Formats: sequence, C-alpha cells, structure tokens
Amino acid sequence: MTPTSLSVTRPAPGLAVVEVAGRFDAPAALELRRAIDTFAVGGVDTAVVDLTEATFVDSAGLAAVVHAHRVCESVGGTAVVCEPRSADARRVFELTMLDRVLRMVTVRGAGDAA
Amino acid sequence: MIREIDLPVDHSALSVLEDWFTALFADAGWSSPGRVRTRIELATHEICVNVVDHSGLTRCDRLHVRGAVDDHGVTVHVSDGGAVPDRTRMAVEPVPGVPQEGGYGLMIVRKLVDDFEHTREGTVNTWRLHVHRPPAGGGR
Repeated sequence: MTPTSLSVTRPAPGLAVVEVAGRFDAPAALELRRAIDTFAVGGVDTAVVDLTEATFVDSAGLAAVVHAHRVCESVGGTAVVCEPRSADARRVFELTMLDRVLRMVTVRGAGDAA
Repeated sequence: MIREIDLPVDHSALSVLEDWFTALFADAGWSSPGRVRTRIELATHEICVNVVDHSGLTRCDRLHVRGAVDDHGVTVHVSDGGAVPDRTRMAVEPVPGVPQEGGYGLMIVRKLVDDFEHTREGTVNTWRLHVHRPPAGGGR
C-alpha cells in the first residue's frame, strides 16, 4: 500500500505550498481542505498544490484541488497545480477536463527526460 | 480467477484495494495488466467511495468486493446493504471542464470502464464494473 504524505510550507508572504505525495484520496483531501481553509484568514492568496509525487488521485482529491482554486480566486489570487508525474494520477484531471481550467504546470526533476 | 474481500464502510479502509488488485491480477497470471488494472482499480475505488458517502452505512458495516479475471477482461462487483441510490443524483454529472467541488466520482467511473450497471435485489445494491482485455499489443 502506497503511503501518503502531506506538507504545508509558507515560503513567502501570501504564498503557501502544499505537497501531496503517494495516495491523494479522501483522507488526504480532507487534510488539504483543512489547510486551505486556513489560507484566507492567514493572508494567503496564492497556493501551489504540488502533486508531482502523487501516485493516485481520486474524485475527493480532485474536489479538494478545485476547493483550493476557488478559495484563492475568492481573494483575488490563484492556485497553481504541479501535475502528477504519474500518468495514471494525471488521468483524472484529463477525464474531467479540469486540466483545461485549472492552472497546471509540469515540474521536471533531474531524473526526467528533457 | 476470483478474489473477494469485505471492507469496512470507511474511507481509510479503501487503500487496501491497491494490494488486493495486485494479488487479483497476479493470481490470474496477468503479469502486466497496465491500464486495465489502473482503470478498474480507480473505478472500483470510486464506487466504494460512493457507498461510503451516500449509502447511509457506517464503519461498523461492510461492503463486499468480488473481482474476476478471465480471457475477456476483469469484472468487479461491489455490494452493499445501504440505501437505494438516488438515481436523480446519479444521472447528474458535472459539466466537463467546469470546476465544482463534488460529483466527479460516477463521471470518472463511466469514463474508465467498458460496462457499468447498478442493480438492487431486496436490500442489497450491486455495482458491476467491467473492463475488456485489450487485444495483444493493444490497450487504452
């Protein structure tokens, strides 16, 4: 069973980075929502949801990402999603066409082909 | 090859399906199921999530998952003793590409599997999912 890890950092004022690795399912989605709900009161208007190392994303994870998008937009900011390296994990964004409306970026690591 | 498992109706219990599918395909001698495995695994997971969220059952209750692999593909039955699903809700899907904070589960299921049906017998709901085995060298 693939473990899940979720971390939140605030590298700059107004910016929060949430990294989710492993399974991004309902339990992790709940953690992400809790973190996001602190953003508005914490002065965060830009969130980076880094799913690069997520290996599995379900509908609950997807909905939590949409929640981040909405919360940031509501304060005039934006949410950026680092798309999963795993093609299977990326697939739910493609199936729902959310990859066309969310701001998604690809993060390449040292081991990735150019 | 058939494999069955009973799971608590609880989100945190569903991650065991990952290893369960690994064993199902290994038992069947299907060494590289590729996309077939990822499609049926996510679809099954989403049906189980749907049961957890909407059946009215609790973590003290169980849902039953039965998987069968043969030359035609893989078929999974998920059974629960919960409420009759709201067919009105089931029929409404998010508009693709329009962000909303829920309702994606069954939409994802329908896009992943080749056959999908729900039946109700007595007090038991059964969700049947099937993914065809691709021809050698094929797949989607």
